[in-house]
Order: sequence, then C-alpha cells, then structure tokens
Amino acid sequence: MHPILKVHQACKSFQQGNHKVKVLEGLDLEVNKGEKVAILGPSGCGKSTLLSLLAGLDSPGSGTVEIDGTDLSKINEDQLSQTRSQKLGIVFQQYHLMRNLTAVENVGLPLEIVGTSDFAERARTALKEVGLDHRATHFPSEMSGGECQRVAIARALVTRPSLILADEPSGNLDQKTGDEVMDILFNLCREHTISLVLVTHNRELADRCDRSLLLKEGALEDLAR
Amino acid sequence: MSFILRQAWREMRNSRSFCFFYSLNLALGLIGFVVVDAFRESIESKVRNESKELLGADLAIRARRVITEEEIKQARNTLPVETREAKAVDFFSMAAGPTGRSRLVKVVAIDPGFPFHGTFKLEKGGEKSGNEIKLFHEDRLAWIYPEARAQLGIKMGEKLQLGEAKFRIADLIEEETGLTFQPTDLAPKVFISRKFLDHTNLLGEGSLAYHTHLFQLPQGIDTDTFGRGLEKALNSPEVRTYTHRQAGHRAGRLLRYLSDFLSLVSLVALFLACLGSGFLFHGFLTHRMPELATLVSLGATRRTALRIFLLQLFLLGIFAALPATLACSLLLPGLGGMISEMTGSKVEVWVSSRSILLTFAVAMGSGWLLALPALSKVRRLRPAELFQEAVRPGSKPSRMNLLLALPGLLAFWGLCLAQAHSDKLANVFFGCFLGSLILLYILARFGFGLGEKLFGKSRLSIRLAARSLARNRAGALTGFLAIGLGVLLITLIPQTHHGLGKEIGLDDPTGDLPSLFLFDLQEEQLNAVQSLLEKEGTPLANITPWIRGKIKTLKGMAYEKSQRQEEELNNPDEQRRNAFRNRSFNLSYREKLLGK
Ligand SMILES: Nc1ncnc2c1ncn2[C@@H]1O[C@H](COP(=O)(O)OP(=O)(O)O)[C@@H](O)[C@H]1O
Ligand SMILES: [Mg+2]
Repeated sequence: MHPILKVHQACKSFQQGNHKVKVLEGLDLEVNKGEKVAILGPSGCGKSTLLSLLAGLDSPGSGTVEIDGTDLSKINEDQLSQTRSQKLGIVFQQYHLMRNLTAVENVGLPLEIVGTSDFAERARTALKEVGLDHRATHFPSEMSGGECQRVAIARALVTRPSLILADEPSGNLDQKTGDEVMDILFNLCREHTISLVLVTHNRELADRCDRSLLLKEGALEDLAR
Repeated sequence: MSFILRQAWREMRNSRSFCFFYSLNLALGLIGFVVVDAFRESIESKVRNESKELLGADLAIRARRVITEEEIKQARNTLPVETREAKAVDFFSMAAGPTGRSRLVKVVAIDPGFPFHGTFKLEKGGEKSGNEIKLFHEDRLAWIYPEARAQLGIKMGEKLQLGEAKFRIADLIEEETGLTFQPTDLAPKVFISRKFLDHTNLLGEGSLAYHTHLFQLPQGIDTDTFGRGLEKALNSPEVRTYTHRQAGHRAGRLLRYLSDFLSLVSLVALFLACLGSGFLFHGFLTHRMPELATLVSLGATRRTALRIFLLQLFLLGIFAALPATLACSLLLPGLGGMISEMTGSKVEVWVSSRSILLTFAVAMGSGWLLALPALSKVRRLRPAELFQEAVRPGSKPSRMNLLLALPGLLAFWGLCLAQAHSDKLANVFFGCFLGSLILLYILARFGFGLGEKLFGKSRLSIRLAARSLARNRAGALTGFLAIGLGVLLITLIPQTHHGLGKEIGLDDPTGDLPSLFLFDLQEEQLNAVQSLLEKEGTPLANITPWIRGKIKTLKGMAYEKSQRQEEELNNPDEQRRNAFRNRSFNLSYREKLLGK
C-alpha cells in the first residue's frame, strides 16, 4: 500500500525584494493512511508554506508532492481541483468561512461544488458530528471563534477526504475552546480513518499525534518523544 | 451550472447595497442613452417623412423634356414590382382670368395619386392626400394659389384660360407638398389634372417643360440603394434621379447636428456611468477575493469562480436595463409633447425595439467589458495566501491590467460610430475623448505621486490625504477621471450650443439676418411697400433686383448659330443634349455682401 501523502525533495523559495529566501530545501515527508503527523517549528520557518504545497495551492520550485499516488505537478488545474475536493480537507487558522452563507450552507459548499445532490442532508449530518446542529442557520458573524472552527472542521470532513491539512486550528482560540475543537478533530479523524497533518506550536497537541516532526532549516527532522 | 447560479444569487442577496448602486448607476446612464437614442430616431424619421413630402415620393426622375417610354421601362426594371408610379409635368405659361388680364403662372399637371407623401391643404376642401383627390381628375378643374387669384382677378368657380382650354377654379391652395425642388418659384402655381393637359395645347414640339416621373417604393425598402441603381441604369445627364433624401437634405441637417451632439453627450454620460459601475464592481471583487480563494481551496476551479461573477454581471445588467427601458417608455411620450410644444412642429418620441435591444446589449456588454481588468484578478488569484495570518488573499499585481481596458474602449468607439451620422464626427469625438482620458490619466498618475512628496512634511491630515490618494490608485484615478470628464463635458455644452446657434443664426447679435422674405415685388410697388413697412417699424432690408435672362450669344456667336455649328461636329447624342440646354438664367446683384 502506498502512502496517502508523499513529498520528495521539495524546495520552495520566495523573492523578497532583491534577495531570494529559501524556505524549504529538500524536504521529504510520508504520511500513511489514518496516520496523524504533527509539524512543529518556530514562527516563519515555513510550516504554512509546506501546507500550501501539500494542498496544491502552490507548487514547489523543485521536487514532487504526491497525493494518493498522484503527482500534483503532472495534472492540470481541473484535475487538481478534483483531487482537492475528493481527497483533501483543509482547516485554516482563520477558519475562512463564507461570510454570507449559513453554517449548514458553508458545510455543504464542497459537496455543492462537485455537484452532489444530497448536499443539504450530508451537511446537516456533518454539522451534527461537530455538535453544532442547533446553529445550522446561523451566519459566521453570529457564532463564536470555537463554533466557527467547528463549522470549518465539519466542512473539511463532509466530503470524507483521505487527508486533512490543519494549520494551527486552535491558534486563534483560548486554551479550553482550543482543546474542545482539537478533541473533535482527533476523534473524527480516528473514527473515519482519515490521515492528519497538523501544524502546531503546542507540544501537548503534538504528543497526541502518532509522530512529531520539527521543521528546521527547510527540512523535517523527527522529534524524539 | 446550478451551483454557479445558486452561488451567484446568494452573493447578490447578501450584497444588496452593491447590487443596488451598481444597477442604479448603470440604469441612470442607460436612461440618458435611451432617451437620446429615441429622440434621435424620432428626429430621423421626422426628417425622413418631411423630405419624402418635399419630393412627394420616395424616388423621382426628372427631365427638361419628355421622358421616353424606353427610359421609363429601364427605370421600372431596376425597381421592385410593387412600386407605384405617377407622372407630373410643370412649365411656365401665361394664364388669363375672366377679365382678360393675363399673368405668368407655373402650371403643374398631375396624375391621380400625386403626391405619394404629403398633402394638399385647401381652403375649402381641407387637407387631402394624393389618394383623396379623385374628383379633381374627373373634370377640367384648377387649384390655384391666392396670389394668382389676386393677380388675375379671378374668383372661386370662375374659369381660367390656359392655352386653348378653360379650367374652373375649384379651390385655393394654402399649402402643398411635392416637387419642391426650388425654395421659391417665379410664378404662382396652378394645379390641373394631367388628363386635361392636352386640351390646352400648350406643349408642342420644343416647348420647355419639366417632366417628372415619381415612384413610391414598397414599405421598408432602402431608397438610396434603388436611387443609385436607377441613376446607373438611366445613365443620362438629362434625366436626373432624385431621392427624397436629397430633397430633404438641407431641412434635416441641423436636426442631425443636434441629435449627433446629443448622442455623443449621452455616450459620455453612459461611459461615466459604466466607469462608476466598473469601479463599484472592482471594489466588490477585491472584497470577495478571500472568499474566492476559499472556494478554490474547497475544490472549485478558477473558471467556476469566474463564471459566478460573469453571471452576476449579466443579472445586474438586466436589473439595470429593465427599469431603464421601463422608465423611458413612461417618460418619453411626455418628452415628445414638450419638444413639440417648444419647436412648434410635431415630434413623436418613442422607444423602438432597436433602442431596447441596444440598451440590454450595452448594459450587459459594458458590465463584462468594464469588469475585464477586475476579473483578470481572479485568474491571478493566490489561494496559498489563505494560510498566511496577516494577509488577505489577493492576486499578483499586474502591469497588463491597463491593456484589459482596451476592449471596453474599442466597444465605446464602435458605439460612437454607430450613434453619430458621420464617421468623421464620431472619430474626432472619440479621438478627443481618448486624448483627454489619457491626459487626465497621466496628470493623475504623476500628480498623485508628486502630491505625496510635496505634502510629505505638511499637516497630518493633508499628509495622510496625499498619501492615500497616491496609494489607493484605482479609486483615486477613477474618481479623478470621472470628475475630469464631467467637467470637460460641461464645458463642451456651451461650445456646441454656440456653434449650433451660429449655424441657425439664433443668437446673431446684429439681428440682420432676415426671417421673412418678400418676392416678386414690382418696381412700381416698391416705394409704397417700403414706406408702409417703415411706418410699421420694420423697414425692408437688402432689396435685391432679380432679372431673368436668356443666352443670346455664345462665344460671340448667336446662340442658335453656335448650336448649328456643333450639330455638324458632334454625335447625335450631344446634339440632343444641346437642344435642351438651359438658356435661361437668373441675374441679381448687390452693392456689398453681408457678413453671413
Ligand atoms: N508569498 C510569499 N512571498 C514572499 N515570502 C513569503 C511568501 N509566503 C511566505 N513567505 C515567507 O516564507 C517564510 C515562511 O512563511 P510561513 O510558511 O508563513 O511560516 P510559518 O507558517 O511557519 O510561520 C516567511 O519568512 C515568509 O516571510
Ligand atoms: Mg503559519
């Protein structure tokens, strides 16, 4: 069985003014089905950059990113979008919900995009899984940060993806709410055997994952327990 | 598709104020556009009708001799089968009243049906079209102008001697249309039916008379094309072809100037409205970029995102065009009445289906064209920025953005060409418009940059204002362009008003342009008329003698002689032409020319 995610010798640099900043240099990563991997590292070390490569929202300068055996650099934009909507769920630090859609509409959106007909029902079920069925018709502006992030988690999970990419999902939340949200995320991933790449500052959260990696000088190294 | 529709609708539902102002802005521009377009069209149809009335037909051929059967056949061959025809003959002759007093009159002998366009306004019979005067052709009747009545000392019902026949005066003419080739005639007209023309025995071999053959084409046929075809088929210098357009050329010129001017003004108004709406859309789109990025991160393609916006613009265009055409349909009849009241001539203004179609096309097309620069942002969207904490996802800046305004400008040029009567005017207008646009743009770009440097050490509020102008370039530029163009337009209005006024002689400061003309004053009447008018406070100005002459010698040789000589030299065709050469001419003089 091939890994759900495989990164080989990925490099990424940005032009900042006159000089080039190398953010990732020859990074390797493999994540198996159902595996939870935490990525740690100081601010500005390139964690978010790595996630955007994994999501296919940006492309590496060199090296390859494979999702479920598909090399993202070898497919066109339509196929990339398709891969993203079928295999991936993304949870952002800032939730990025649609302001003018209700909670249930937000959750159903990925299904609507691919043209699923029973999106409303499935969205309701997903919302129930994160314990927010009573908030279905509320707009994001009417909900707390923790509730918004739970809606975002439901949205990432509604398509039953193989891999969730989460960028500091509790970073904008207080300790207690953050823990609640993370519990939900961990439980649902386990329940549906979904792999998880979790970017975090928090060692405790990292310890709840199967593996912890440290992003340092553009590459990942294993963190001993 | 259904997702795109749903999403487009949701977004519009939640951005009501944007939708409202976008549509309102566009609708206002469109209303101006439709009103002027409708006004222009009704003026054009008015001019068309009036010029048809001047000629009395759509097409006519006219010669100073009898038009041969052969030529008429040739003409018929070029025209559609349903074409109606009528003949008319006009010539000068002496006519005598019952007292034996005789005067020069212009006899016009007409066929039933004449005129095809326009009417006779008769003192007794009222207004009659060509089809309503059948009785006139049944008997030896004549309609005369009141002048002839006075000159001949003849009363209604009495007989007028024309050559060897007598015609009973059946009515007096107040106004008549058709065959109006010259603005004035030397002698009052006398109309008779052509059926009885032979009875007069006035036209014999070599008599001088104009023969006109009038044609009425089936409805909705382009007269100009057939006119040209006719001219080509006849190919004779003696037989001239007239289209109603030529006849009405002068009458329509001024109205066309006016409508051209209004059209172009309305186009600028439309442009400004589009600029406003385009700017609103730009803001709306910029605001939406993070959500677009989110949509892409959820598995939508950029194409889907783009389609959502195109659909929204389409719907908004409809929202703008619907109330605009509705408002115009309600307002225009009233406007027509107002114009009629002001100008004293009946102008009906209505919204044609062409106008409505054009409005919708412009509303939706302009949305897309103006949004092009904004929409190109969607193509350059960077959803990776969703992961960045501090930045709102946007798109890579691009220098090519300005180029994307090009299709919009080209479309505007096309509209200018379509709306103005003359291509030259449209091009000059567009050139000036583009020139000022570029000038204003350059001014703004450098002005704002300079302002930032200049006011860098000023008071905080000024410094911040200058900086904000320099940094929020899109907004500042749009605002500046809109105001600048508006000001240019406002200065253009009095300019054109002045030009038009000069052309019509409206605001002639010396007031020495005549508004009334008196013709055919005889020498012995002059003094009496002059002193009478002087007493009335409106003295006669510019009394000009007018003498009709006849060529007697040509290059020092008696005219008949020079003719005979040519006969020996040239081919029969030229001989014939020579025989019909116009020997008469009008002579006039004046001591000095007027300024106008
Ligand atoms: N689009 C970009 N252009 C230029 N530099 C960038 C861009 N995105 C990220 N960077 C730079 O890359 C580095 C890593 O950023 P990021 O991945 O956001 O770090 P982290 O998520 O670990 O805090 C930073 O120095 C950042 O300035
Ligand atoms: Mg980050």
